[in-house]
Amino acid sequence: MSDLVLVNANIGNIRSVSKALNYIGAKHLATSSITDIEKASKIILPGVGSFPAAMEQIRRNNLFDILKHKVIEQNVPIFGICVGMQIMFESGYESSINSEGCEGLGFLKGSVIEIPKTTKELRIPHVGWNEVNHNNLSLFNNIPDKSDFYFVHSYYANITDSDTKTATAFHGIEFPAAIEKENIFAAQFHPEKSQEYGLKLIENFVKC
Amino acid sequence: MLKHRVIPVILIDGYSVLKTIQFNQRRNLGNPITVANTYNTRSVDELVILDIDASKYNETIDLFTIESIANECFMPLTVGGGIRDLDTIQECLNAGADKVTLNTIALEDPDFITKAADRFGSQCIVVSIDIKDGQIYSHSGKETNISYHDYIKLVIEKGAGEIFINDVDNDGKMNGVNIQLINEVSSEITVPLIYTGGVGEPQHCIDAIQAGTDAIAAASIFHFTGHTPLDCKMEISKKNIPVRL
Repeated sequence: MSDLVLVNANIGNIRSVSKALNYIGAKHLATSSITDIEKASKIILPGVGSFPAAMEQIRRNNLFDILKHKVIEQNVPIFGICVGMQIMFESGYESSINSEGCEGLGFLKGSVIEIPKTTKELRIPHVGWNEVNHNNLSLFNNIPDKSDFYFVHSYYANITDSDTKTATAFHGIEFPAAIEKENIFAAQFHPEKSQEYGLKLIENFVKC
Repeated sequence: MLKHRVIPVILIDGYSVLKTIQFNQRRNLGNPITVANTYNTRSVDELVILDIDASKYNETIDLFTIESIANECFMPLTVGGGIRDLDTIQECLNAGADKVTLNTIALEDPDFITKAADRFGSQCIVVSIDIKDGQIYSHSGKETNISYHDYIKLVIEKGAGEIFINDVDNDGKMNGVNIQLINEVSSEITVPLIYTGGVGEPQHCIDAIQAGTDAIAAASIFHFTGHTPLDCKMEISKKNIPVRL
């Protein structure tokens, strides 16, 4: 059984991830149906946009409980991308209307906060190709260390749990570019947009 | 460290690729999907697709075109042309775009930038500004009373994630970039800057980056000369400027 489910909760760019999966020959089902997700043996959670908007879509589609059940209780491997990674944390602060912070899925300990403007010249959002230090994460198997991946974000995960392994990148500060903790994997960058090495990384998750 | 980007731009008028000179004369260049495919190599950092007639005719960039290009290219895509509401932005992102550009709507209703940034995140929202004779050039022909300095500050405050500056006077001329404009704008802003207008050879990309732009976008050089994005990046790299090869 290898039912790979691509969660389609209207939080953007399902198509790009789906095409990447097709390219590497990974059969998958793009769905927001609880019944389908229940059968998943592996889950990918993509996301483009803002933390609160993504969480609103998760709630609107009634996915909070099923995802928690699959990931925390059944230990099904899950791979979150960009905002999909961010909402795995306990909370995120984003948007002009919500300075109080917004609750996330809580699979990982930490919160998602703004990349600080450490110098006058530092451009926020962090947009473009930047190199990632693998730190031996299995997601990067057979990918050269310090390869470039495509980032487009203004917020990063401030992790408060030393058991969460991180690959890092630097933009004003060093921040988690990718994470692994038991069955939970995620990337802040967009592997589906990062060409050769991005596709390899997705393949590494699919084959794990 | 973050690399400077070299970004090919594909202009379309609904369904065909074209190139302008000073936003005026046009040359038709064929099918957008075919053209996008020529950029589908390892060395292209990002692709911008703009429908330059959409706004004028109250239409938006064709979603099928975006989908078809996104199907073939596993690289970042920024799309624009007549985008004026949140649903359209959602559709563009669902079709495979990573970012959208807002031009006319941002001039008419800067608060829309905030609405878009709140829903999609600032990083998805690029505000595109055409500058001609030192002033903002508006497609609708409306006079804008605001200087580009003030306008740029305004849109960033409103939530723009990137600024895309298009120098109309240099558009299509391939005679060099507007170094002074790049200097000015880059020293005043805190979000990434993409400049386009006048690139005819790799040295122009270097000029633009040394003047302060984060990314350099171009179309004519790639349509009409033998230079490729990779050529440009190799020349940039020789100057010890961080770029992805």
